[in-house]
Amino acid sequence: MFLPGLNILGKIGALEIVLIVVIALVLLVILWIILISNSFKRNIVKIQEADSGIDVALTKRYDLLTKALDTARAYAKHEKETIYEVIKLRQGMTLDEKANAAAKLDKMGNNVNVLAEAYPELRSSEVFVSLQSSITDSEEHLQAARRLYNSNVSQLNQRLVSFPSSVIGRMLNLTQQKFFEAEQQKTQDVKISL
Amino acid sequence: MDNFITEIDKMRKEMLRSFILSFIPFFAGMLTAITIHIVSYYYQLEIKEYIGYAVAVFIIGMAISIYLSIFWATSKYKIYVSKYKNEIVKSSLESVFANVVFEPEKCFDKEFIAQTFMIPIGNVFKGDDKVTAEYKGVQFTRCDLTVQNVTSTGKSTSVVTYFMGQWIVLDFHKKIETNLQIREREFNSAAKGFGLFSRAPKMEYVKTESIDFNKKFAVFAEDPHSAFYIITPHFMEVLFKLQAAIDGQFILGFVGGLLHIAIHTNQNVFQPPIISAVSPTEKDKMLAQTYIITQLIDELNINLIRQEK
Repeated sequence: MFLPGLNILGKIGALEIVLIVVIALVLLVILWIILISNSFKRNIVKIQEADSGIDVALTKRYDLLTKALDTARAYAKHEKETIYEVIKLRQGMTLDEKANAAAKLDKMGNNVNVLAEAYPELRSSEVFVSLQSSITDSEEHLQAARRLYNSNVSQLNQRLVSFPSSVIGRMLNLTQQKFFEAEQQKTQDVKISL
Repeated sequence: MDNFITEIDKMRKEMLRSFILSFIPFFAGMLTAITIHIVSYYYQLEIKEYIGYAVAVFIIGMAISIYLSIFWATSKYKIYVSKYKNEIVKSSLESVFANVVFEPEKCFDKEFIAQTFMIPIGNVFKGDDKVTAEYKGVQFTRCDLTVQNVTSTGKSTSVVTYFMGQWIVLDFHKKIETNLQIREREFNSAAKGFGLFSRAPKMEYVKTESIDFNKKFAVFAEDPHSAFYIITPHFMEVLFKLQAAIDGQFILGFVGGLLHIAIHTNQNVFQPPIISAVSPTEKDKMLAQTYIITQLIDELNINLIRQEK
């Protein structure tokens, strides 16, 4: 069957063919750049989502721990020693500040357990037992948020150091991100008021 | 227990004997028909006169065999299977689990399994040996399930087995609101694709921080945070142990707050032996099949966490 378009091929010279191939290659490269840069952007969004997840987990854990301490107040009325709460959670904390806060919350959690050991009647309080269970669950959620964040950061960092995606990363001025690491007692002891 | 095993094994032998005896009329009829044919040929008798007798004898023999196998041998088989399941299987389960309810003829509904999107659902769905019981306060339900897809083109019939093995459902102590699947990579029959036109919830592939775990298992989750919440390093260790202990492949699915475990072994685990003898180690064989349940609950301390709550 005669196809009129095919007739044109016979009239195209070598130069034109080379030009077509070059244009096709350029288009492919442009498409590849677009795909890689979009995937980098998606990666960044996932890291931001995971970061937000850490905030949510930290806030929840903080709320539960303060409720547990409020419950403990009723049982530790005769306690004379006063210790102060110095944990501050706020919007827009850096990763180091969050790690610092997480470490303080760990210490706070330990103090809650110490109080429970010191006051048996507190241990048998249903509200307190329920809170302890929720605190354990919130710790697990915080760990999950941390691991998800680190997983996304790891993926981004690997792509930024691997060729050829590293070329696109540099074009987009992307830099390797820090991992969320659990801080080990860098700060002063947490003080809790009863 | 030995006398009891001997008694059940006698039933098995009677059942086998009844099947063999059922076929005797068929073979007798066939032999008679052949003899009539040979004799008439040898004595140069008129074959047309005697062929009617030969065919009649053959048909009568076959009819008697069919009758005996349906109404006699099959009933012996059902009695044997029922005795085996209700006595050996149930007593084995009751030695480990509490509040055992054993329903040999029942299994999960097709829709209940389909809504997990863990395996493809073909056009053949059959199951039996439903057990509901408790282990250390944790209730679970399991049954033996076979899911196949049978296609016939007229000239040939093709049977693809998607799943054959145990399906276990238990109440996991961690609750997530989204779907999560953990698949052993060797499980080739797992439901494929959470694509645009699929009814399945949209799940994405999640890579954990463990290279070994990622090599052996593939994780799909609607919410990656839930995946990391469930799949802790300890949970990964438990799955490695289970993979080493199970002779088959498995998928875990968290659906609607329940944990589904599908163990594909290509066998129906609570079926009694037919040809081989019923041995005193039957109980151990039964208990070996429930290993995964006890291991999961023990290793993950599900019962302890439940008590704390």
